[in-house]
Amino acid sequence: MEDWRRIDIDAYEPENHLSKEELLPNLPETSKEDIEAISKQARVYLSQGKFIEALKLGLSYPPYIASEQIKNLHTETIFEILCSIKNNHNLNDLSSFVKQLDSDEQDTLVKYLYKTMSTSYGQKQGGLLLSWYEKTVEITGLGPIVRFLSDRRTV
Amino acid sequence: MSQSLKPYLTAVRSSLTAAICLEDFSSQLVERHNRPEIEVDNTHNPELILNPMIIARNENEKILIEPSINSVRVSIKIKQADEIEQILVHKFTRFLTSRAENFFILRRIPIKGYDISFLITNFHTEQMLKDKLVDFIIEFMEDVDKEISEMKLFLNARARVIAESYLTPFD
Amino acid sequence: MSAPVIYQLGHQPIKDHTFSPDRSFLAITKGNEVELYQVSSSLTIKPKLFTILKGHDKTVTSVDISPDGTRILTCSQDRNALVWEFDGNDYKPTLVLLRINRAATVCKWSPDGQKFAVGSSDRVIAVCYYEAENDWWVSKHLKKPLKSTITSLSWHPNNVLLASGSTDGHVRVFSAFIKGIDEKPEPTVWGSKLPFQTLCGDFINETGAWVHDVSFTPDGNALGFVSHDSTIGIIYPEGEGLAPRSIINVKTQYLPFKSFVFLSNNKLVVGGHNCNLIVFEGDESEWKESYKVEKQKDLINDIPERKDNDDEEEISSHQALNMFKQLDLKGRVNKPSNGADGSKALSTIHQNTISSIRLFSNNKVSTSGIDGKIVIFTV
Repeated sequence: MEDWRRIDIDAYEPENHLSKEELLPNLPETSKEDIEAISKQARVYLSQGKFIEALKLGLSYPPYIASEQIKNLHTETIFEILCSIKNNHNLNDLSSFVKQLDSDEQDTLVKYLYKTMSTSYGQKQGGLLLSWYEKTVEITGLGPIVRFLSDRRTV
Repeated sequence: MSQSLKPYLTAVRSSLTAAICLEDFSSQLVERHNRPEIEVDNTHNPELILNPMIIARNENEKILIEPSINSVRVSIKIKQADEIEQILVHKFTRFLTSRAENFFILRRIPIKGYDISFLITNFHTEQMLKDKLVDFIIEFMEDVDKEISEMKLFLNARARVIAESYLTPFD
Repeated sequence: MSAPVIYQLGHQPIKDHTFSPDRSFLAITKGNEVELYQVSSSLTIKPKLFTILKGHDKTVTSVDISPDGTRILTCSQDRNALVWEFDGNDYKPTLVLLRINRAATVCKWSPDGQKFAVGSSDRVIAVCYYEAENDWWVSKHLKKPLKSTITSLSWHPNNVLLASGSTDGHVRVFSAFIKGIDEKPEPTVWGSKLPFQTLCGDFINETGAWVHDVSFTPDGNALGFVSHDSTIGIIYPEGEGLAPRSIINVKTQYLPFKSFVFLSNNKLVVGGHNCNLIVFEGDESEWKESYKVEKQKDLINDIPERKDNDDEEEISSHQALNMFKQLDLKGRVNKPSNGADGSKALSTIHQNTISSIRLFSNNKVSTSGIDGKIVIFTV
């Protein structure tokens, strides 16, 4: 006897509702090679002491349309950049770094701060990420946080 | 350790202020119903829930905020350094959750991986001021840590007193 | 007359409000009912309640008064809309056949008052016109390609084009031309041949966040919208079938806006969860923030100091319990010691989200808030 009470009636009319895939915007997919290239280049910048260039590079090409693996790779790269900047500068310099980013990059920075706080390696460095967060939100206000929440392009 | 407390609480405050922007929303799937969209299965309505955010001070203390169009779920993981604190936290949260009606925003069952959860809906933000709700959650987080450590001290003090008074006849 | 006029009409949230075209009376939504108030022309006397329209079973989500001031349109979460007309003594409702299966979220009269549009959670917009032989209003549905709740509607001055914003992040412009009621419209930048249900434009901003409000400019040549990612979008179309001349997206640092209104083709005012009104000015090339209508305290950085609780004779493990007891007794999340000055936490007039903004006169706008206030600001 069919369990007719538990039939999901909305599943029979898929064209009426949005599916998770339809929400994703139409952007080109980022490939593994691109992300690895960016990661290498960022490390080069860091070893040369060009911190702001490394940060701008990492934040300009977020892999919105990519597999989980690629996204996680990029998150690790950004995390390395943030750690190395924090370890080589004192707290007040972080504000100057944030001020040099444009508004899109600031939004992406906030997105990556949240992403790294949800990973286990990020949580071990909780204090570091929280100081970055404090300095960023001081400058940008609540806008990037709201955009992180409502943006369908997730990092 | 308390040097990272203030940035942690400021981060939670700004994230909560952004997430608590709720509005009344009638269900799209069920007619004449109005339900918190974060609590129901959203395979057919993925557009109504927003990206969840985690704010972590370290691996043992974090907050998960899951927003949606008319409700937001805030789950807190309280620092528990040893077994005594685990038991105390468990008893404390059980005390609160069994009185959840008086609380309005408390959820009876915490989300897996966390110790206590709040569910704030647009009806709560209509009746109560949003910034006061955020203040309340921040104060709650501060107070819980303080109280657990006080309870632990108190417990140890009592245990010592009892042990002494028990053992004095044998001296 | 530059000080804002504040009317505190109860404490229930006001989801929508309208003034009549001659500004003699005001309609607000209150729970399942709509309250009508007499408004004095000098605005200084508190409005007087003269009637309550009770016809809906569930929350009334939107109210609109026709441009000639004779008919009041209300729609509610009970899937119905009603048209109320004054018959000398009282307001009587006329039946509207919406044929929707979910809540109605927004309703708006067209500029000539002959038809109206109702948006719903049923992913459908119902455009209704009057059928005299049966004394009811019938509807035609706009369905494709809507896939999510409609949150806002706006009519173009030519009576035919209708813009809608919905929770899937899309702003769409439809033609709501009804044969027999409308005359063929002049061609506009949105299109020339416009049978019913033509999609003249479909726009989405980068983030795809929910659209809270949408509105045509007074001349109809551009379309503005506010969405949940705290941005304001303005679209300047080029012509039928062509890409738009420009799409401007202004990112702001405030909490998301719920409503906005064009003061002129180059000036608009927005408000929402930030509880304040902000004016933006601009044109096709760029829009920028001009000024805030009220001074606002920063909530994140100016946290009020906590006053020490006085009943601390008891062991402090009861402090939290006291707080919860207070919550139980007073039903408010106020810290007990905050007592007298806990009444106003925000530095703005509105203490809770602004739900709708309407143009009141050339330099004034009226706003309604979730805190039960109607305020008329000079901008």
